[in-house]
Amino acid sequence: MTEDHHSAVVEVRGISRCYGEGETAVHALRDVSLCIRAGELTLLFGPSGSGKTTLLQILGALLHPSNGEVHLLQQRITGRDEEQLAALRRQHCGFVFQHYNLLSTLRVWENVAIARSVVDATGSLSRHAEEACTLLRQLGLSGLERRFPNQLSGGQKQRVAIARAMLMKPRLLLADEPTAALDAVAGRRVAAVLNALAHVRRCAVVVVTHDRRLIPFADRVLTLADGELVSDQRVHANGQMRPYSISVHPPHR
Amino acid sequence: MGEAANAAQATLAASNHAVVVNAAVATPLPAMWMPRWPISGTLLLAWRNLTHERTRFAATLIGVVFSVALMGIQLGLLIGFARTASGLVGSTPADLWVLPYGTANVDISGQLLQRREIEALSLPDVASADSLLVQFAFWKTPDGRTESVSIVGFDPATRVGAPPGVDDDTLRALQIDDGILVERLFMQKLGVERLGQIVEINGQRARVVGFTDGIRSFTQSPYVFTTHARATRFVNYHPTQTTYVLVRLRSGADVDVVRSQLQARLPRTDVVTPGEFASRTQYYWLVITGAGFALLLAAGLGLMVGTVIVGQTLYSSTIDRLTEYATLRAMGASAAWLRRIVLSQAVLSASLGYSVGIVLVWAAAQLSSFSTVLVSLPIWNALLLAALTLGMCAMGAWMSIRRLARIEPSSVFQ
Repeated sequence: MTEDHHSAVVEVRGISRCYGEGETAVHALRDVSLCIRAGELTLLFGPSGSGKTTLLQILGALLHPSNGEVHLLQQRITGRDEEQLAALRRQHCGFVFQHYNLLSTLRVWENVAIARSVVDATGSLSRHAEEACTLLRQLGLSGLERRFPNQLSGGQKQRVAIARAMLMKPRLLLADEPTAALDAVAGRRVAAVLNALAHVRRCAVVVVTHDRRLIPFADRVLTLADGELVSDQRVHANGQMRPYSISVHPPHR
Repeated sequence: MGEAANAAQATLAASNHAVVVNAAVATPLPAMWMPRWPISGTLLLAWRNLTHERTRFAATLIGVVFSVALMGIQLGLLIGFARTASGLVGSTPADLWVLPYGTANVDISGQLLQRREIEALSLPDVASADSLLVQFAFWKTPDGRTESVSIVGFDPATRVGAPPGVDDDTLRALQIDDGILVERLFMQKLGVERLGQIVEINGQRARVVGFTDGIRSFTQSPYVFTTHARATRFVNYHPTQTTYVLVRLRSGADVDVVRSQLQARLPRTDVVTPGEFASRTQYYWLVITGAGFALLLAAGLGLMVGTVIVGQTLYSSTIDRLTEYATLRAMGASAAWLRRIVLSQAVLSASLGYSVGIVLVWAAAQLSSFSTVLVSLPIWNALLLAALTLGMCAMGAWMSIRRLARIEPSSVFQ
């Protein structure tokens, strides 16, 4: 195996996704192949309806493709049932949502610690309190641990959501428009956190976004149009983008 | 990309929010932050989801409390009625009862000849045989109303059939002419105000010479105790007639054997054990008359109302939080983990509602001791109520659980 193969966190081969049947069928994705690696922050661009969210759902083991194969950490996940997918997600995946999706009745630290509770179903939540609060402090949220989500700003909520995802120690973090609801400063702060997650924790981070201000924080930019992967570029230090030559793997014959 | 990372760090530093995602040093938390006791994520979430909307929570609790109280009181009445119906049988010390053939309950019976006593005594294993007369009669109150009473005639010398808890002095008082014992709980109903009061039973003079305590009657016709001889006069029986013969066996005698012997020797009678006669009486009053069914129906109604209220409030709470449940599912929560949240909500509702409801039932049971209608709350009934409440809330959670089973984790990204 090559070094490149070793760092692959999720790999999709010739995947398509079709909603509906017959004349009303909608092809959200068509024959997409790519490999997402550890230590990279990948941005996924594309107009509305281009298939970004569907690709994110498939990468995160939330949705099966209609055709093609998905490998998460070298495990073929196509065909697994929902409980098996849920087990894979809690072991390897973290999610950050556009609207934060925090649990409104839990305090900030509880919102973070609950992530561990999903894995350790019967254990006490307070066992994970220190770890959760340490993460919150790292993300600049000291002093807010006892607040409820409705007492936070959008940027603070998004960092809580990131802390929740981080507590799972994911190998793959998927974010859907994480800066869409944030102002410029808060958006940059969130982007910096995602960047640090990829480079310091060697997490594979995939961000669906329309926000081109995130490009300086990224390693790679994918663009989808009409369900097809139309470009795959590496972001260079000078801000220029060049084709990402090793990323797109042809389907295995 | 190194520059991008540096830029990111610089941005963070400028905003006074240092991000050090690889730091692993945990700082101890203030103790006040921690829950007072170890609590799992599902239980905490269940509790918070329940209590977050106080109006809905209050409605749930009121529903559960109402159901527990309704079920508890109806079941308590049923048990109380069962005990009351067979109370006379249960409180009478006998190994076997000889009844007129086909007697369905202790309150309504045909006649036996008193010589059945002698016939029973002719068996070597029979230690004693005593007549007991139970028959309805009319009682005229001082204000001219007519009430139905149940005359119980027994032999004060043997005390077999005597009301429980009555002392020797009171029994001796029955030697006074026309003497009767009246239940205190029914004094008002019968217009009895004092000892020595003269009353009228089936047009015959009677004198209240004592009181019994806590002897209720399922038929609400109060038991009036007197001597057997006097009872035959009150109910216009021939002195040689009675309604039951109570048999006590010698030590070591086989009840089944003696019963068979008695049954063979006493034609047109039923020879039964006290337990059988009590069951027969309860069956008659609670099943044949439909009284028990009515009580069970009311208890069932309570169960149904509780299930609907809990189901409706849990379901609306679940629907309100579908996005949160889908988020948890997307994070990898198993279906069982999500179920546990809803079931925990159900168990918490059940526990809190039961705690209040059972106090109300207990209070009703205590108050009933001053009433002619008994609400009984034995420990097994309290446990049965707890199980019913849990079952009711679990049933209420069923719709929510079904809805959660259909949740699409991918919906969080739509």
